[in-house]
Amino acid sequence: MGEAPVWSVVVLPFAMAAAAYAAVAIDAALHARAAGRSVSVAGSMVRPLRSVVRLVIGQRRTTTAADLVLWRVGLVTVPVAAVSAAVVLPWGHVAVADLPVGVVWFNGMEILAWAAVWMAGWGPNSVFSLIGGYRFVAQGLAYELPHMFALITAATAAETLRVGGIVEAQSGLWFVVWMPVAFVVYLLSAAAMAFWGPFEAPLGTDLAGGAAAELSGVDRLVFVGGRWMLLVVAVAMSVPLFLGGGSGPVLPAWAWTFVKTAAVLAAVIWLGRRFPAVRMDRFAEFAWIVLIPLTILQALVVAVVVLAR
Amino acid sequence: MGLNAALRRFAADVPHVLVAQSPAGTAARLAVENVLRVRGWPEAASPADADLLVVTGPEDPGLAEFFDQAWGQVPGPRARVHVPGADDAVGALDEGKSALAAAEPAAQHDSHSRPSRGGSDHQHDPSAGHGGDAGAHHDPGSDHQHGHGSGEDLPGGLAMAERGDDRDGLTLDQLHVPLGPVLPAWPAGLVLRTTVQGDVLQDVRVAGHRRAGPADAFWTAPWHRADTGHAVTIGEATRRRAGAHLDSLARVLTVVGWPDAACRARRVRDAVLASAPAAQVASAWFKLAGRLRRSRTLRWLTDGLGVLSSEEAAQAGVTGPALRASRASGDVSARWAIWLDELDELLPHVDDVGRLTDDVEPPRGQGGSAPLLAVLPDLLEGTEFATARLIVASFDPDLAELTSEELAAGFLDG
Repeated sequence: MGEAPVWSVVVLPFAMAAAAYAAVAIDAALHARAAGRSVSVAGSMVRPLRSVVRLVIGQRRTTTAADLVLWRVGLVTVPVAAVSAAVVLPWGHVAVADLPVGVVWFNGMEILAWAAVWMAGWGPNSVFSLIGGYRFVAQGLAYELPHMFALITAATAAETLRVGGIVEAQSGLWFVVWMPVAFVVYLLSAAAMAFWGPFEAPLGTDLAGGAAAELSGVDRLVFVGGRWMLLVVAVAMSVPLFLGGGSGPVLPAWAWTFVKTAAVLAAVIWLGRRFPAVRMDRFAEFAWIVLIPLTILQALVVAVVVLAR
Repeated sequence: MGLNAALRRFAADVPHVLVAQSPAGTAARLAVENVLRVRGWPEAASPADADLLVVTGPEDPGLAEFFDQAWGQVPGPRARVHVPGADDAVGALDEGKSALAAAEPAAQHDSHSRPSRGGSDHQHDPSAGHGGDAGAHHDPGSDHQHGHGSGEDLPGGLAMAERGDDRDGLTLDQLHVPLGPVLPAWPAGLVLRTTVQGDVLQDVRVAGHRRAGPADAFWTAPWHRADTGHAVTIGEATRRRAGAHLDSLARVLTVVGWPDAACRARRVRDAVLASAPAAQVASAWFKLAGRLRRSRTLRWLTDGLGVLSSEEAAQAGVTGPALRASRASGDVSARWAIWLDELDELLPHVDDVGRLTDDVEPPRGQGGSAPLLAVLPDLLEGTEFATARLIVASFDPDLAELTSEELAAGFLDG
């Protein structure tokens, strides 16, 4: 596992934005199909660009007695957290930084999203926005523990917190094969962390957009775009953690990373649109009573296997 | 400047539309929604995300203030159009799109060009209309003061939150928040005057606006015409009733956060109302109904919410699907499940040419929407915001149905 040259730090945000753009295009195409419109590849690719241009030229709003500093810091933190998390994401056999505590770094950056959404919700001094921000705090309490146990399971099996090491440990057998529960819970919590799809309650339509209710122009672009980046990085991390990273026959490692990431991302988006948005007053119980014991059991099984090897 | 204009035209090709409906504007709203779906123009959830405000239905002075307030919160470049009736939808939306493409570029932070808000009482309404600030925009870099009469020493001239005991015996902030009338998937014209702590509704009073007089209630029009001696077929009334259930179902699905299912329900609704043949409608419906019935998640999310017992329902004079649902489990799940069952029965009869008789009831039963409004406060008090939204959507009262006697009796005086 190598580290990319220093200039890759500059490329990373652009690569993330491009991946997020592709995800939005897939999502838009699926929605168009549900609405009974004909879907063309060209149309799906141009459509998000119109939205981007619309937000770039649109007016930014401020609200009465808003806490501007908190609000703007919250908005910017979403894409910053996503890009920072992507620093340890391997592309083929190369990551921007293969930190010895890569998994911890990744998880820490994700948790920035809690503060970000809460600040973005609190800042505009608006009821719906505030409720949306708090909804995400409740969501964090529900998804984060199962998520961490899923991460720990992969790290336990590889006996390292270095993401590169986790990929190398899967040279014989992908982790998804013998820790399917951790894999499924990981993807579930990836959607929850990116407050996307079935976990979109913090931006719920019932709340007129929740934490995003008062956002327009570039502010909205940064926040919603950052949310898509979070989804992309969280889902992409499942490839090195559970799907063997860039390993595979014939194709080069970077191509396998691309193929696997695209496949998982498309599957998650397709599945996510098939469910209503779960509310935390229902899901929290499920997360604590069902998912946490399941992920602990999964970690236990993996730990026993590692000790017996 | 050529580049700016080109960018505006490029972006204006897909405007985000905020639909604001007056109670008599159902037909116009349906027409607008249909055009939006076919063209792929997204519906904005809040004024901040909109470029185009579309007011549907006849002018309603009671609502004008709320609509102006929403308009005051739409960021530029923006346009506003009025769609009085269904036939005006396409023309008005095209006009809105051209106006957007030609709109003056919005200077960053320049809000002095905005119209002042429609004289609403901004001090006691820190979130009028949709939960934002009351639409006063100021230049963050200037010392521009709003004249708010009293309350100049308060932040932004807004009333501060008060304190009150919450359900756990703590003393927490209270806010007075009106919900509606400009909210996604919300009954037209309805305003709930609520006191909230966090996301819990403590005190709910039903208010709203509907022009007094025989408003043209779209969903009960066939029955109204039959009462006034016109010949109406069973098929026509059945289509209207099925359309009403599908419209309400789409609202529940929107509020529960399932946009694709909501979209499919609207497609079936539009097909039923557009006189599509029964066989074609039925196949689309059974596919959707199967998906909804199989969805354990949907049931799990709506079970046990807003339980209305059959005694309470009968006492309030509730009729139609809501009464029948109260004889089952009486919760939000039961209410949408009843719509599904009724749609199964209704859709094969949409081409029935028999004469409409009294045993075919209107969508919300013979008792109409007034009892549905009457049971809301008790069911909503103490619920969390998301639950409250689902309960309202599961009854989906139609304010246009209210008779002048019911208005006089104070059903909207909260």
